[in-house]
Amino acid sequence: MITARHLGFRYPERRLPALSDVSFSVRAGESVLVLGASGSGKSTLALCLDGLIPQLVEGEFVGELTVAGLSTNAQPVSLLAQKVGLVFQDPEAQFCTLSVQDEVAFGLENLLTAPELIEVKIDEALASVGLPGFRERRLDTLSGGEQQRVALASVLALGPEVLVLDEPSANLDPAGTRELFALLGRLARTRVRTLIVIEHKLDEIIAWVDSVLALSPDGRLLFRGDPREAFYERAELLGEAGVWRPERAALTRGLCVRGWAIPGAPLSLAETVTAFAATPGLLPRLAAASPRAAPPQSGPGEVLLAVRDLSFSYPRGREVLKGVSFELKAGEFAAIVGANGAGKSTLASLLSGVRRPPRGTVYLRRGDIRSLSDAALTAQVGHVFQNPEHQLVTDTVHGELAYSLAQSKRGMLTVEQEATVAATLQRFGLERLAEANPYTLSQGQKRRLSVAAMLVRAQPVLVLDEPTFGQDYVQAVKLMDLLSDLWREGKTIVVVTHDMNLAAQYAQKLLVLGEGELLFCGPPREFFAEEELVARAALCRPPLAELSAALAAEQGTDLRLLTMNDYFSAAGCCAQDERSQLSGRAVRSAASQP
Amino acid sequence: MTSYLQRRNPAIKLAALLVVFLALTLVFDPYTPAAFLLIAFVAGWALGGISPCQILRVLLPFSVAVLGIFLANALFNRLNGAAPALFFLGPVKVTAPALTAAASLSFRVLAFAAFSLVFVKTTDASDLILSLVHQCRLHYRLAYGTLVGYRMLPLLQGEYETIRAAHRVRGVHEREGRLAVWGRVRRYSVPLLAGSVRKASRVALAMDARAFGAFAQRSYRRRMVVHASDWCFLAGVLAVSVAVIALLNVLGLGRLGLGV
Repeated sequence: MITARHLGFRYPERRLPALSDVSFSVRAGESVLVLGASGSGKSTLALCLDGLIPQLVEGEFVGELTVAGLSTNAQPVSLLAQKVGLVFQDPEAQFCTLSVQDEVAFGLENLLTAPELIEVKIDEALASVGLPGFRERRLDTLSGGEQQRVALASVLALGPEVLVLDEPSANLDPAGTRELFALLGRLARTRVRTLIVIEHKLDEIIAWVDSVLALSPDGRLLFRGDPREAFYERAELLGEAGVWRPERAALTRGLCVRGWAIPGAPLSLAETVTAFAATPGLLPRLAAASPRAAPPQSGPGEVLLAVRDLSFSYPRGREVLKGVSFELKAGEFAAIVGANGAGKSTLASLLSGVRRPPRGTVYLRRGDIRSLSDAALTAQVGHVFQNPEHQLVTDTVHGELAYSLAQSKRGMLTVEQEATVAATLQRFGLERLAEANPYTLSQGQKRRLSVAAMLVRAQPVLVLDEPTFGQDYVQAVKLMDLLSDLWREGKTIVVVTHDMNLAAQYAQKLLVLGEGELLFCGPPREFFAEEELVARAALCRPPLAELSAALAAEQGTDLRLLTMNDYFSAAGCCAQDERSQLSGRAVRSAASQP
Repeated sequence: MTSYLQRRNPAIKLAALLVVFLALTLVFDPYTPAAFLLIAFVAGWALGGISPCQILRVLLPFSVAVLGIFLANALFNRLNGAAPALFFLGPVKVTAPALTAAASLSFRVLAFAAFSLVFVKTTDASDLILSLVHQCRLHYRLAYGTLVGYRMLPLLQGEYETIRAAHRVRGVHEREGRLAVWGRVRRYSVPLLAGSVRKASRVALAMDARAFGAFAQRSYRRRMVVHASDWCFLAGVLAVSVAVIALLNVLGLGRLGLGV
């Protein structure tokens, strides 16, 4: 269905090619998972498959790419559009009309389809994505998951043979992600269409992926083949290239390295349960150790942030937060989780004074934060926004940090402050980029810069909105390790996140919001053990907690394992150093030791 | 239930709006535009289902600006030099012709605003775009470009607010005087532009990926048509406009003219 020969592409403003010498083929009906670090050319490949590169995006195109018998640089895009459907990550940024039916009709109208036929096809397409009856709805009234399904319907309406999805779940909450993946799984299993999926939530889709295509950071083909091979034999190779890994496979591999002979390189949840059960002694060992799983260490610290009966609504808007109360102690690592629209970002912005909370609701060290000036507050609480670009105020990386320190004395830093800037740049791995324009940095570098520019003022509290959004594995690990270090040094950290795995691994305290109410405040382990509560918050358990529950059901015992370390210590292996849980560095070093 | 005005063809409604605007530019007394303003309220209520309160809610804040226009034209009018004084406001001489001109202008602005509001409130954006393509022969590329721009406005506004908050957290406001407007514009516009360009090119790609521009023509699921009732509506608007102007002229209140 797809054949690429020595495919390469270079954007005009870039020195190095985004893709180079990539050759592969894909069978009809195959579902391919595309992996790669950020900047490895995944999205470029997606645009090539539709002929948008090189026909509409300018640059230097070499090699040959044939999709469904059409050459992508010779046939018109409008013809290719009927063979290849493209879905992007941000549903808002791919719509061009206002209502569901107009959006689905858009492509059909472009192809001069007869109006009566369009009506029929709209119904078919909406039914195939599980949204019958959504015709008349306005797009801006839909949830993220529904919007992404409409985007899918609008390309399915053209009857494409190949579907290309570029990080389709990136902007969705756990529930939206689950519904989208369930739909993609159904599409994949029918084998009617060839699916090319760029995604990094691997545990959720691994069950229906036929093969893996991985790109190296410099845009070359790194791996093409079976998922089992990818996530077991070649896991190190892929890990070094910065791609995300499926947690279950990483756990299984870790246990194998530690001497457990788990058979069959399992990938899906069911396979993993079967394989664990087939490993002599493993399940009893996990079950025996489980109740002794280390209690969360929440020391008796000073109460730093206290929220009392906080309700908040936007002008002319509905109530976003309803009677939220909780306390954060100095030196705690907290995560705010919840569905889209549950009020997570609003709560975070009220904690840091980005938005002004009502009087008498948010206290910092027993003082109402409303009585603090903006300057006094920013000296105490740092807030890192979701999009790093929003926080940029100068033209150089060094300037960003200097700006934070210089206060009112425009630009001039003392020797001491210069030293602080230099040390911070070093710590965040940005020292070589000191004179670069912030806009030219990579996603990961921009994110680290925005944290660095905040932190250089050494506030005791740091609030971060979706810190790992849009980051590849290596970048995310680097950032989380940095946050962990800061937390160890005594800073109080609050992150807003959709990533349950991250929340489970790093947070001591989970603040779970559901429709503006605080549904839970406590250790992640306790939250994820309560299946009903997780469902009520429209969240999902992280893959390893899900596995633990499935194993418990299999074994008929109580099992509450949450992180990889829980499993390792329960199985009697030495735990990894906590900070490199995500990075898998310990796995590698353990593997290299006899 | 849709109102009478909502059911009218958007291009015809736009033409009707133009008729009213033209009529308003031809009169130079305060009574005719005031009458038109009244008609806007009545028509909005009776034909568009928009309560006068809804119109007032938008018009009242707008009136502050109009008051400025009124004062500027009443107090600093060149007619003040020649005509006899009506009264003095301190050193400023206020005359009858200046007051009349200022009132006329103010009512005209308010009437423009009220009619435009009625138009906007009774017209669906996609219908208007389709109608412009079907009735006014606007090229569909331009039409969809406009629609995408319209879609993006609220997103852009949200982003602007986020950037403002983000900069406040960086401590930007503490150290800037009131005169640093230029710096602020630059600081806001770079991330806003970067974001918009990225979004716009993304939408463009998403549209081309669905065969946008494949042919010189497109088919349309819905076609905007002009019914006889739409023509009647336009004729009615024309007739009422002419009648109001004529009536006020006969009563000696109105004043037609081209130029001041």
